Amino acid sequence: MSKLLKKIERVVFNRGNNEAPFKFHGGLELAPNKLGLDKSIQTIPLPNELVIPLLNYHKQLLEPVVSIGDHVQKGQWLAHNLPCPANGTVRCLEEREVMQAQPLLTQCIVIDVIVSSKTAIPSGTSPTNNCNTISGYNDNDNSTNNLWLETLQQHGLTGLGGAAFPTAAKLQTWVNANNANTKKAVNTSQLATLIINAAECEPSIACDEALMQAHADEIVKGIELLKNRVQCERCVIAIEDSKPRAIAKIKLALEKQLTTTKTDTPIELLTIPTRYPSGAESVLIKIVTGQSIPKSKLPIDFGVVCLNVGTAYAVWQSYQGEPLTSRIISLTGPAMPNPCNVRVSFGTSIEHVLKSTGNESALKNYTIRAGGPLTGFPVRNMQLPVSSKTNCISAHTSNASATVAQPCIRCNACVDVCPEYLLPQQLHWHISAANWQQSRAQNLFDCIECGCCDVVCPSNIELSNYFRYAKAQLLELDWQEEQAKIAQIRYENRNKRLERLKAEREKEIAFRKSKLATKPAQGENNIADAIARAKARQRNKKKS
Amino acid sequence: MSHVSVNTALVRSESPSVQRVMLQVLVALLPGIVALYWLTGPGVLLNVVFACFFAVILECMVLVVRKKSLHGEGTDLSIVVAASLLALSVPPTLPFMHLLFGVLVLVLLGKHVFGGLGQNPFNPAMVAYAALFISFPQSMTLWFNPTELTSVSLLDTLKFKTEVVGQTLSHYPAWDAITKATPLEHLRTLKLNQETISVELANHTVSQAPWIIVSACFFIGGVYLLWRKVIQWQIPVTVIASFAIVSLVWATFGTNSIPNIGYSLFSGALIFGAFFIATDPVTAASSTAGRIVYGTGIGLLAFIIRYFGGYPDGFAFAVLLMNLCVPTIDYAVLKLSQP
Amino acid sequence: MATTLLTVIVCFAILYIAGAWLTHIHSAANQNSSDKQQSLINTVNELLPQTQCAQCGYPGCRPYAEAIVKNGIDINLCPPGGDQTIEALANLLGQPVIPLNTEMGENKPPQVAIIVEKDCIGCTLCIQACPVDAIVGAATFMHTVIEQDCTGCELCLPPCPVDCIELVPGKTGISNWAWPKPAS
Repeated sequence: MSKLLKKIERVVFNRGNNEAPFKFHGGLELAPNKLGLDKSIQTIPLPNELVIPLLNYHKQLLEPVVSIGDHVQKGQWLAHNLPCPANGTVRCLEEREVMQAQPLLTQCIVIDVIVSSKTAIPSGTSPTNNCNTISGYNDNDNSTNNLWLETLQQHGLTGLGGAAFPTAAKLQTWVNANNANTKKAVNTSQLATLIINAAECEPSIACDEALMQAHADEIVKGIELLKNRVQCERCVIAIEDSKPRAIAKIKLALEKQLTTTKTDTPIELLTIPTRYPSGAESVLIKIVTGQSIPKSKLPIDFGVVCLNVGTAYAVWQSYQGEPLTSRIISLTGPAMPNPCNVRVSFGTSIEHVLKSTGNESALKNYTIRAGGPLTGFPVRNMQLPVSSKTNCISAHTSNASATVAQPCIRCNACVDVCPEYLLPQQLHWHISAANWQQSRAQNLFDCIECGCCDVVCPSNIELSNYFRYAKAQLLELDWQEEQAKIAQIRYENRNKRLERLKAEREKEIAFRKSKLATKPAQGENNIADAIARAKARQRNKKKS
Repeated sequence: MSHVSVNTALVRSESPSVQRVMLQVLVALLPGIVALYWLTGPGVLLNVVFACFFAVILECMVLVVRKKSLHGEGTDLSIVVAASLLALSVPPTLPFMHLLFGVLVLVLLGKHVFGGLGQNPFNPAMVAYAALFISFPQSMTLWFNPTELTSVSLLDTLKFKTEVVGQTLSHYPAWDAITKATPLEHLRTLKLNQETISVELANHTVSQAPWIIVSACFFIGGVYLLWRKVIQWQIPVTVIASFAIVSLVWATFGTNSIPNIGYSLFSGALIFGAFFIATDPVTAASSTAGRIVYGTGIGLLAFIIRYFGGYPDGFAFAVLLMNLCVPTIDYAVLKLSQP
Repeated sequence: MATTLLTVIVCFAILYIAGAWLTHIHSAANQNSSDKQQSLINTVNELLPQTQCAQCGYPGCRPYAEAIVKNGIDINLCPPGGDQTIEALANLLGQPVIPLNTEMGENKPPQVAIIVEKDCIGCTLCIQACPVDAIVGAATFMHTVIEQDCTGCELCLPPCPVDCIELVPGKTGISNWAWPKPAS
């Protein structure tokens, strides 16, 4: 039955077409609304202080490897795999608010930036830098690969698409899988497709487009590097058709690349229709390969890895020895006085970014938002530091008017736009009733939080917020269950230990009793002997 | 503090709202109302106005009792749509007191006992229709004869509708002459009397042409809703298609005779129901495949009840029965679509 | 008339046979009872929150699970589990959902014990009381609570001679940070 449904799905949605771009379910046609693309990318000056959160992707706290007062250099580790964005001194370690939808304090390193020069800074402990040793990357054996991945890790490379997943970790599984495949010579269709995500589907955000216009050559070199490293069968760069200038630039760079290097698998340029959320990982994989990634599976299980175009550029930068310490941010929105795309060091406050780009007036007069209109969130504290997740800062004339949520009329508009084949209205129903396990059974964790359902809901229900809430609740429940299991094991172990100790003690008592019962005479003799020995010693003392 | 993460105002120019959806449904009903007025006189207008007026008052009272904000749920027009649908389903001759009973059932038993808008498992208008049909079978099957239209004035209708309460029509001989059964009611009488249908139809004792016009007007309204994407194609198409297919098959191979397919499709509440009743999103299945199953089920049940049951038209009962199956349909589709 | 009567009788007969057969299956499933009972105890135990707080009147979660299965004790005696646990137990055992018996205690948000270290005299009494071995220390040495293993059962409070143990809310941080419920 499921096969039949799949077949129907293929016929209905792909219309018998077996070539990319494949169609995906749902989604919305939104006006791209991208601003500031005619200006070149400026690097904004460093602020006086940088705030670096000590958090990794899994939201675990990192142990700092520098202490207060230390001089730090650009690229030096502040904690494991966390390079410092600029030269300076460590001012303090303190709890600061970080860029989150929900304001939350977390441990951060605050750095006083020394702008002046590279000289006269006593260098602290510098991490081992492998960049010099791997200049060629020509060999394709495991040791070079591992060295390369290690370098990416040390350079703090994370995905620049918005989720900030560590790039090295993503590639590691791929490299391993690839090695395993070549060794066992398994099904070749398992071999990887590399997808470079340059769709940038969310309205307003233009950082990737600006990057492609400015650095197409470097991007293509980065992709070429990735392609050669991971030995993929197919390598695709997917761009939405609303970006003709970026497409032209990339096309030119690809042609240039082809003239310099001979290759069996040239990088394919795939123009995809403009439809939100084509840039979401699972959706883009569907568009490029026609493969939908079912729940509880990773793209790598289908031999696919998807990287953001900004990440490809960062990979090239890393190859040149530059750690990832800055990114391009779109300053946009209807109320932004000077919309543009700028390169910003991680840890710079929003206030500094806006002030140094001539957008100071937006600070006072307008509402500021981090991220795009669908996946972003309003920001109230202008001191929040920019991180690798921050792709956009926008200004609006007013906050979203407080619309009161009305009851769901099950109009199915959300079902029709959901790219993950979920039933948002059913999920909302279960979540409102705190029916967590039921919402999990209806694939809540497949939700990519794209916000399409929020846009079309006639009752103004914040559906994606409900889903975030339920996910958090379910994770909490899972955690509690895990804790209960640990407590149960500890309780049972303790009971076993207490029983064992009790048994041992009883055995000991029984043993001593039996000893007393069998050898009473010998015992008395012992005492008598001891007394005799003591008396003898005393006599000896007196004599001496 | 608000945690709004999606700024919907930034990406959509016209914001969809429940009110807007309901307004579009009301607009779509207009051609049908006009056609019914032309066919059966002012009774239908009186029914719509009275039902809406009373339903809104009752809705507000219930919302106050339930301590809900009048601003939110009171203004979403959903109750106006439900009351209009009920008013269009009942005969124009229905006494006000009976209609009042219907509206009470609609608002209280159809909607609010389950928790208000969006929570009701059954279509409220059809719950009210079924309750009326069982309670007042005689007044529920009494329609004006279209040919006698000229003799019906607004005032007469009003007088009739307010006076006839709990009394049979024989007390009002003046009215008896101008009232006549609908084609389906007539068909049922024939069936009960074991007469041959085809012969009677050939005689054209009941003119069917006006009813075709009514159905066509509702069809136009339904197409408008499809165009505005208020409803999806699956339910109306499958309801009509399954009904038509079974009618065809039965007409070809069946033992007892049924009217031809054109007669079947354009009589009774089939077109009206397929576009306006079965598509009620609250009580219909939600997935695409689910809607197809749901619509097919309604078409089949409507056919069976209409031609084999004791009621002239079984659309209300078909919808109610399929409403009952919706949770199971949704669950089954979800389970089957998972690999 | 006779056929109608016959039909009715046949219908009843079919229903009777079907019912008897179902009952038979059901009781057959309930045979080899001791194994079944043991696995039921395990399932019930897994639904309990494993705080081992003994507020229910039994010395731990497993003993309470045994009492529920063997002696049919009420399912609403577990304050840390609260309504969620009662609902889960009711679903499992086919019993009605009943409110928590607050005589046993109130449902509280998660908490952990901490030892005020400057007051601790190192008597080891709390170590002996802890049901999950979450306190470390030795005689005359300062004790401390392993925070991540503490279930917040409060059993270490009464034995402490110097009242140096305090309960604090369970730690929340960015790692187990919850999204708020949207306003409806």
